Amino acid sequence: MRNSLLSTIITLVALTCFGQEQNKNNMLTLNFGTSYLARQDLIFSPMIHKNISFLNVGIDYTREAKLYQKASLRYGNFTPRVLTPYNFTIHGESHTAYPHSFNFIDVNYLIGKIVKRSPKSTFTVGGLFVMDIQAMNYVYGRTSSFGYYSTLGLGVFGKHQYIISKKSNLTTTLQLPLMVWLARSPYLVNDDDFIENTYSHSGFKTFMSFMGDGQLVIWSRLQTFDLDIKYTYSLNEKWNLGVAYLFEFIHAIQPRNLLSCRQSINFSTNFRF
Amino acid sequence: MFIEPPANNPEAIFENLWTTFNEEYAPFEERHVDWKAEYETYRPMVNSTTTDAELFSILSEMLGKLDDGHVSLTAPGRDIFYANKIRNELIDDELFSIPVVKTYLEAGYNEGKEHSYIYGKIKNENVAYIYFDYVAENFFQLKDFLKKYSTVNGYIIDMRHNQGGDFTYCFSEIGRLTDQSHYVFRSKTKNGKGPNDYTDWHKWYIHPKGSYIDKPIIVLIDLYTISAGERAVMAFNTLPNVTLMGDTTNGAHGTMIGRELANGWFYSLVPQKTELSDGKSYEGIGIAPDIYSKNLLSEINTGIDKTLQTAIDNLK
Repeated sequence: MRNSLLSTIITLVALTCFGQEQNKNNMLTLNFGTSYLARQDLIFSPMIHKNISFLNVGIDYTREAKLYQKASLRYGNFTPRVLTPYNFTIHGESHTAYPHSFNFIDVNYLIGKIVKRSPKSTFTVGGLFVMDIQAMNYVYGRTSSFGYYSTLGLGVFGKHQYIISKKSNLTTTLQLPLMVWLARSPYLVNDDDFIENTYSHSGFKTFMSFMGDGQLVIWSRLQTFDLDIKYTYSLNEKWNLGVAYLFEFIHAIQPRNLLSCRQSINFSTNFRF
Repeated sequence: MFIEPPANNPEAIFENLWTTFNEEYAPFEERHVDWKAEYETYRPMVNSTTTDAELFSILSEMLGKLDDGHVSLTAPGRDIFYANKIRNELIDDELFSIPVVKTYLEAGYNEGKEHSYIYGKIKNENVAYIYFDYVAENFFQLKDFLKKYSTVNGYIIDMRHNQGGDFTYCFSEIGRLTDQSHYVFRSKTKNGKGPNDYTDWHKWYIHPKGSYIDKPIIVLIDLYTISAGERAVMAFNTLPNVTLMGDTTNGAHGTMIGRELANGWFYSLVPQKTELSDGKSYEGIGIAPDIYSKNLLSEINTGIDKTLQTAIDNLK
């Protein structure tokens, strides 16, 4: 299974190298916006952590030619808490109970082809590679715990673009990872295998060890998808502006239930070249 | 689709905390606590009109039965409650003094930020001393310490009042002090709600690394040596040239995790069982010294650290 995943990734990479076409249409997009997170991870807490964050940024590179390709990188940070930060003391010495801190990095690569075209719309389907790295610091007053959720996955996507006018269009994209290498924190935050993984005291080696302890899962064990609805307005030949609604869903059951819903409103500046 | 979180009222909070301990806390047996009996005792004290102060008091009293240095309760505007009596009441805390220790060292000793480590040569003696405030990156100093003081008669490694941290920093840096691998302890972690839901036992070893130093070592310990500090002591204790001196350690050997309640309070618990290389658990007992030595407050107040002086005398 691991070899199949690796082979498919290599094939996708090879396709990008050979996707050299005439009439290249490239676009660089900067995204920024606000996100609302509702997340419950029973490994760390029975509470539903909710937070609105204004630290939500991303960059996309899109190439539309015979093949459609898009590479994107996004980062978001959330600081949910049950109570507003409060002070407590340890033998009279004052300390502050800070919020939790969640850091999310999303890397996506899409490659596909237009399969249906009409005067007003196009429909593109293709394959998808996703990498999610979610690093959490759960703070419990005087102590804190590191948690992680990380995926490497392959799946499919569908993109429908509706041309509203000469200058504007509406694009809806659904990304559906179907086969995913999933690595999560252990049942009770850490165990001996987790501690063994940190033994090198090297961030990179520790991350690779955590990933190595993951497992291959399909839809029955992990349900995750991204839905993006984007309105784009063309200022001129080179510059577009956009506003998008993004909904990201994660539901995993092992080793304990995780449900995460993130809704974002992103504004974008697109440069076409 | 979210699982209903615990409600924010006194009775639901009591139930949530008691149930979480019931499902996730490992060493009830080692600490001789019948947790179900504690429920019968304390649950009737909580009702819908229980105030925050009353609830904190009831939960503290219940958790106090565990007498566990890793168990605590945190609430806004209050002093943390530690379930371990020694830590909570700071019994004999003043019998270890860093300013007094420093008076035993030659000028020019090395010190880390906020005394994370202190090391130097003992005045007028061919003995080197190092102190660790906790177990983390500060243990990387052990390498420089051993290199700098390679010709002394012996070493004093002071683990008194060590707050714990990450024992793997000690295990990865101890390599020069041994010429063979030693089995130190084993541990297993809860991975389910049932009383017997545990991972397999995991054995921890120390291994030789670098050129071997064969000198007598005295490791100083006390009631406040806790958690990863105790695991570091366990590792030192496997070495044939090590003598433990001082007082018995705290006895909190499992790992610790945090939890939160619906009212924003926090608590900590222990999801692991541990056994030393002799097959026994010393959770709740601690590691006893080979040579018992306890400072007197009157001596500390006059600048005398009797335990440290005894260690120096043993290494002359």
